[in-house]
Amino acid sequence: MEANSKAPAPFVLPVIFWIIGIILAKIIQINILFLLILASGLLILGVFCKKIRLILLIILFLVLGMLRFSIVKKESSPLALILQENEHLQQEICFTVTNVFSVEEMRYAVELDSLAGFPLQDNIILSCSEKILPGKSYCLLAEIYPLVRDPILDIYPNRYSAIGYQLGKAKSIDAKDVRDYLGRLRYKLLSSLEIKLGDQADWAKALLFGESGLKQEYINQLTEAGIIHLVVVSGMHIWLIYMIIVSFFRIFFRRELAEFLFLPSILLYASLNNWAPSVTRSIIMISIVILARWLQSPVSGAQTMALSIFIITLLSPMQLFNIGLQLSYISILVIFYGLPHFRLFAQNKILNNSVYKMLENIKEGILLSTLISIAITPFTLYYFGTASLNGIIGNIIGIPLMSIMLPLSMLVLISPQGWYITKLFVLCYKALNSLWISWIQFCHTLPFSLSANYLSLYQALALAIVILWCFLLIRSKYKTALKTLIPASLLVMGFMLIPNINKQDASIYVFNCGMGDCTLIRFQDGKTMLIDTGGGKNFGTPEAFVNEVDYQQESWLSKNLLPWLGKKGINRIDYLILTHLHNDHCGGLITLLNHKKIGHIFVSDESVEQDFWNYAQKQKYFGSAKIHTINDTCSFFIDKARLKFLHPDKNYLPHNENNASLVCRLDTKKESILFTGDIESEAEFYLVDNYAKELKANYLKIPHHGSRSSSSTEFLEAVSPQEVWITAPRKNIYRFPHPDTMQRIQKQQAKILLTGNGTIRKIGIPAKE
Amino acid sequence: MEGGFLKQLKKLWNNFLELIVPPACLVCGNRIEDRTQVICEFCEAKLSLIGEGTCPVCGSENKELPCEVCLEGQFEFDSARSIFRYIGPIRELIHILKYEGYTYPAGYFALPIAELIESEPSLKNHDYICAVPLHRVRKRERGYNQTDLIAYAVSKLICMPYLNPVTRRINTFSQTLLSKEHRIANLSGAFTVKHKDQVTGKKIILIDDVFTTGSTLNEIAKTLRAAGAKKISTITVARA
Repeated sequence: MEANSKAPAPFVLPVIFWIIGIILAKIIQINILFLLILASGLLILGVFCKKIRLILLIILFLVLGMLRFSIVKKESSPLALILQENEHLQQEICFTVTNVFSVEEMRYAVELDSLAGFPLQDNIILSCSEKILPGKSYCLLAEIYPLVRDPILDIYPNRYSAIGYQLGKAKSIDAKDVRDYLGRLRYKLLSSLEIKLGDQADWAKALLFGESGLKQEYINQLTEAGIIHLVVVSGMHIWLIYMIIVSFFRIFFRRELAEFLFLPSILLYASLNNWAPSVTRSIIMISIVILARWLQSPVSGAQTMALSIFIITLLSPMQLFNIGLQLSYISILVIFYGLPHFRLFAQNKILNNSVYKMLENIKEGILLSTLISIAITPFTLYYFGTASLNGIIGNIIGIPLMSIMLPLSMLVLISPQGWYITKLFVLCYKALNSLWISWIQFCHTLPFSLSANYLSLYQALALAIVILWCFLLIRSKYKTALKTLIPASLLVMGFMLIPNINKQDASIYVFNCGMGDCTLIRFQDGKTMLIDTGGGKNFGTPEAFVNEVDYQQESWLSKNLLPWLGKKGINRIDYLILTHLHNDHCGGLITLLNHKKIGHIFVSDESVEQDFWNYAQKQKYFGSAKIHTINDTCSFFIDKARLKFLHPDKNYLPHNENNASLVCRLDTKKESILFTGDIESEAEFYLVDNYAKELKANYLKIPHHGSRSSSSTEFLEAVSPQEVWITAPRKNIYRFPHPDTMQRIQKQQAKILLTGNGTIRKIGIPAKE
Repeated sequence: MEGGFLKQLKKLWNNFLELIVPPACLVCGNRIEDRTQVICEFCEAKLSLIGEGTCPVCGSENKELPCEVCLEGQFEFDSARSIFRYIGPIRELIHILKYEGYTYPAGYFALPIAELIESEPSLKNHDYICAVPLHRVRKRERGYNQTDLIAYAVSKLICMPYLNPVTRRINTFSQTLLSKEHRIANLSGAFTVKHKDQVTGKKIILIDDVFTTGSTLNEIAKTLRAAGAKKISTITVARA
């Protein structure tokens, strides 16, 4: 069932304008009333003016797209509105569990039905202290905090508006909704798979229900191998399921009836998968192709694509910015319109000989996976910082293997527990599974992959244009390619030359990095300085011994900061200051050294003697970075600003590592900022005694996350800041910042900012002239 | 008024369907007005009809009479007529009908066949129309028998009965890949007459999609003759 590429596609143009409208509405805010008037005006004009009706219709779609998105913008979550006025709520909530995030941490996605007895619909995350079942409804007393999205760091949209913590005992109440039954059914099916397959059930769960319970290790390997698409429920799965179900039904019925029966079963499957965008997309597309078959007309791929994206964005325009949806449409575009017109063998040879036909199909498959992997690189580099061509090889075995594993998992799912046939299926599954795992392990060692190379938006756009132009060549549209060569290359040059930094970008960011410290300073000339690198794997336990392997595990830096830096186009850290080598300050160091170029590293003479430092030096992580060991007060000049190290000086003898933290002051013409690491009162007193005049600063990063043992009144008085920054997350186990500290700071009448409320950004570093 | 409202609703529904799946030419994908049109004007202009002056027995276009084909191997049927040459859009239409699940071309082919039967004196006064049968396994695979569809549509158009006395016993290989000798060997004994009383003493029109060497039609004609058919005329949609 192939979509005819030559058939008419009247929907394409209006839908393109509809999408442009949605994107426009996202960028600029437009009054809904104005749009409504404009739309009705266009409609009336269209009725009377016959000549320009088509143009009017297309503009109407643009306006309607803007309107659709603007309406969604207005629908902000009711719970978020309540939480704007209160810092947190402690109320009884009734809710239905929709999904399990993590069984170990007992975190669930729930749909709120009522708050304190009042009906209120919203999606929140619930962290429980007892096990609750998906699909069931409960009532319990909970503490609800707003799920603040960090306005600077968070890139991906979030559907959840708040996070709740269970306080009282959960009471189960009866389900009323159909969706609840679906949730329960999903849970039942998943647990039946778990019983039958044991610890290998993860793959079947991912294949059949898109359950993301795979081990992180496997996910990383799959990403590097470029075959992660095989284990998430995608359009390909729906096509496979279509083949299986329709061939099965056709044993009993004629084709039309089989296709008719297929539709409800695939809808049930989509609802069990929580309507993942790629699933919805392929269901709509298959339905249109089936409809066309019934109507005896060929239908073009462009028409089905346009219709499906129209329906999806009509229901929820936010989906347009979903990365899953974008990747799904890019792949389908390549499948329909990206293949080159060339054959290995002559047409009649292919028709008459099945060996030639098979070879031709294999060539087509390999070509397709190559082209798709290339086409999606701008997207994956922009969103995830990864790109992999290993998938071309991975797909050769991966796709056939998955097309056996998928029906097999289905058979395991439906065959009853304890029968011999079930045991046979399970045995087959396990055999294939071990093959699959060894295949992943082979593929991820292949060398054609990039990781943590985030692109900025402009770079991604430039790359996309280059790839689009190459596709013109692949489709042998040489004339168009020649015509567009100059504009395309100008556009690419333009995107590449857009400067990474303008004056507004020069600022200081104190990142919301959980229990840890990380501050970035961007100077006007584009130089960057990073003070500390945030927490490592076991963050929150800074004193615990952390072994070398844990340092390479994922950290806050690799998850959040690298994507952000990539998007900002920062590829190089010119100055890196490591105040001390506790895990909450240098947790991301190894990752940073692996992925970014570092110019200079400033480190105290105490730190250099530590095991971790020696280990890093022995492994040659530092590369070409110049290491400056600070053993006394000294100054550096960076872009007309002065960086002065005040502590520890050569006479100071610390009695613990915190007190040996580097303390430095950044001076500009008008302002000065004091960074204090984790010093405690002992070092503070030493500083007040010896450098009282040097401490004076407008801004102060409060030492040691606002612990009680730091920020003594004398020290604060010596600094006398107008604004202080505290690096502590919400609801941390240390209860930082301590109330005593807060009291002392409040006495100084300084403005207090907490990273737990979102990354602090101070715009502009006025340079010394 | 009720009927009028329903009619309006149906028209609206049809317009809606046309917006989603616009009617298009099955061959080139150009837009057409109505789905029953099947192919667009441009493709229709490319069709080539087989005109007058063909061999009365095998329908070959060779001008020399008696024609070589008929001399070489004696055909069992009395006459063979074809509508189109097996080139261009017709080739694609027949392929679409046979392998891609579109059945509208059957109705499209039926029209000229019906016209031919009405206009040719030698094709008049036949008892019924029958089609080249498909093996039941192949029919289940495909869902329908394309010659069946054509023959049925023709019988409706000219009000002639439609019967199918012949069945295919053996699921033979596809004829498309074989040479003439192999075709004949492949087909020998493939057909049987199911209802002998329907054949004995009857004049039959046999319909098929493509005439290449005539071996399929010849084999069926042989079977029908053996069962006592009085006259067998064959009509094919296209001739290679």
